[in-house]
Amino acid sequence: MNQIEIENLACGYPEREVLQQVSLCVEPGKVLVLLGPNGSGKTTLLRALFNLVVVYQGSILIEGEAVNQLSRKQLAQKLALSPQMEVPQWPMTVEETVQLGRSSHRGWIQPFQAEDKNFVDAALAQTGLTELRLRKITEISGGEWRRTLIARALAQQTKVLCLDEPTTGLDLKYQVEVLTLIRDLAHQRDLTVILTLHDLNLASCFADQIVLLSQGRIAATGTGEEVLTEERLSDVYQTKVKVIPHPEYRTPFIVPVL
Amino acid sequence: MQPRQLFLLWRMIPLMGFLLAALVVGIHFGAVELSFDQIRQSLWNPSEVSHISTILWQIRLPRVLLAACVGGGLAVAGAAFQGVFRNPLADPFVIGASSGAALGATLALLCIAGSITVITATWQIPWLILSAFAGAILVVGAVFVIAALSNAGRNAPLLTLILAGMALSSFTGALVSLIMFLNHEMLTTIFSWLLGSFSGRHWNEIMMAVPVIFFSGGLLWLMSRPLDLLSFGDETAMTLGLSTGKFRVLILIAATLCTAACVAVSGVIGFLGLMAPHMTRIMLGPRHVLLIPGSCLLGATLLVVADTLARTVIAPAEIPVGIVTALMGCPFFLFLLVSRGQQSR
Repeated sequence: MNQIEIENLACGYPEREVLQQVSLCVEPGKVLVLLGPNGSGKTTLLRALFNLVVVYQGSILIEGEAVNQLSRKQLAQKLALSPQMEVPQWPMTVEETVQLGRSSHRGWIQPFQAEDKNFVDAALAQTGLTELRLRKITEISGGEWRRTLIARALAQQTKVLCLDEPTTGLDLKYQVEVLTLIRDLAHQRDLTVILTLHDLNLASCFADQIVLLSQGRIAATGTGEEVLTEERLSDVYQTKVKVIPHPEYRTPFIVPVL
Repeated sequence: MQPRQLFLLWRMIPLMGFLLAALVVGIHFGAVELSFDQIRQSLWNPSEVSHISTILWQIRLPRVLLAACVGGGLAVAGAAFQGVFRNPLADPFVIGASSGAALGATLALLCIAGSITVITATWQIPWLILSAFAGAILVVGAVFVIAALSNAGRNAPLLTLILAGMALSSFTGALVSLIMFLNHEMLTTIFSWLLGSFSGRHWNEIMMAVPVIFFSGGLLWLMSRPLDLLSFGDETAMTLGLSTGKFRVLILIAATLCTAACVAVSGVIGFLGLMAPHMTRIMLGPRHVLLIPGSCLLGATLLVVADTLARTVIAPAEIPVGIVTALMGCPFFLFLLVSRGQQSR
């Protein structure tokens, strides 16, 4: 069964329809990357999964259930989001922040259990934050904060993991580490991973499936080789590009032509 | 996990110690100083009839306990408002509770003074308290309704609440000023109520306010985790499983009830609800499960101390306690801000 099925979706904000005619199936154990220029609707599509936008038409099913029929809590047990931007307000520690990822598994007044602590520890270890667990989130670097947000989503232990530009603000080492971790989780634990990226080459290296959005519609979907062609990218991004094979993996490698 | 939670409670002990010390000091000082022996004896034998016992049971004790409850209540409400609005500048009066209570109390004082004879002497105080309480609830309720009706409210519910609160506060504040202007002879009475005071408060006030403060404060403590989640913003709270709308309304109602009960019995005591949560955050961190009980203890301690100063500094006269909290609180708070800034640099 498909983990996520989106059918003929039109959605957006009260004044503005951002996405139109979006149909999409996501299988478990696959990394799906949403690509597209700024304003093409990548983040809106992610937000639609979380029932955070106005749906004008169509439906979104998760494990066969419509997202707008599920309670916030049920949804949070199925889907986790690592948001693109979030401003830390109070000086909580990294660990306390990640721990809040466990909220949907507990009642609102029930204390966290040993099981929660294990998941939190695992999430911290996977994102390389174990050493920083007692640091305040208002005093860590942008990259460390980004990894904290990813760890919090991992601690939710959901079948579907959504990440909005998880590599923004990370140096090359962590860009590769985070994406490798996400890909391994998807392949080994059968997680469904949906992420947005701006870097076409990282997408090409790590994606099992790519969805290219352009002006609120799906321009192409398929594997890297199928989607990332010179003609299509030049058209969608309105910039001339050359596509050459990656020297190691033979996946498409995109370079701009000035 | 169990020992860790015990550890958390353990961190409350110093604050409990502070409060106990403040209570003892508050009972000790006053127009007549009670020695610690006298306090102990009279506390152990409540039925004993003596000069000391009367001062302790009828004047000192209710006043000190009421100051503690109001201080705790304002601090808890402040912590909740700061959490739910994600704004360190929020205080218990941010959405109009104080101005509403002021209007209610002013009208009540006017009725009493204008000898609308329905109100007998014994009912004057409850009447004052209830109308202040009703005023606070009505104004905050109006703020909610305006925010809900507003188109902008759908996109920025918090900002709309704060703006509507500011506008209605100014409006009710103007009404209070108008009433004061038109009733010169009432000026001192109304003004001293507005500045906040525990002068002449008895068990009546405690019986009326404390159940509400305890109930709403306890409810806010139970809302600790939703408050933690809300501090990361609405959308994040939602993706982590919180029905933000429902919980926000519940928290705002509880915090408003708490504030209204405090204002109704003590007048408008500024600055404490802003200051106590910040000081507690420095001591215990920002998690609401600690922040709320910690703020409660610290707020209670601070207000008992402030009230003790208010009635002793220029004894036998009294300064309104609201003036003391502002005069003592601001410099201390600024000192904390500056010294904390230097540490982290």
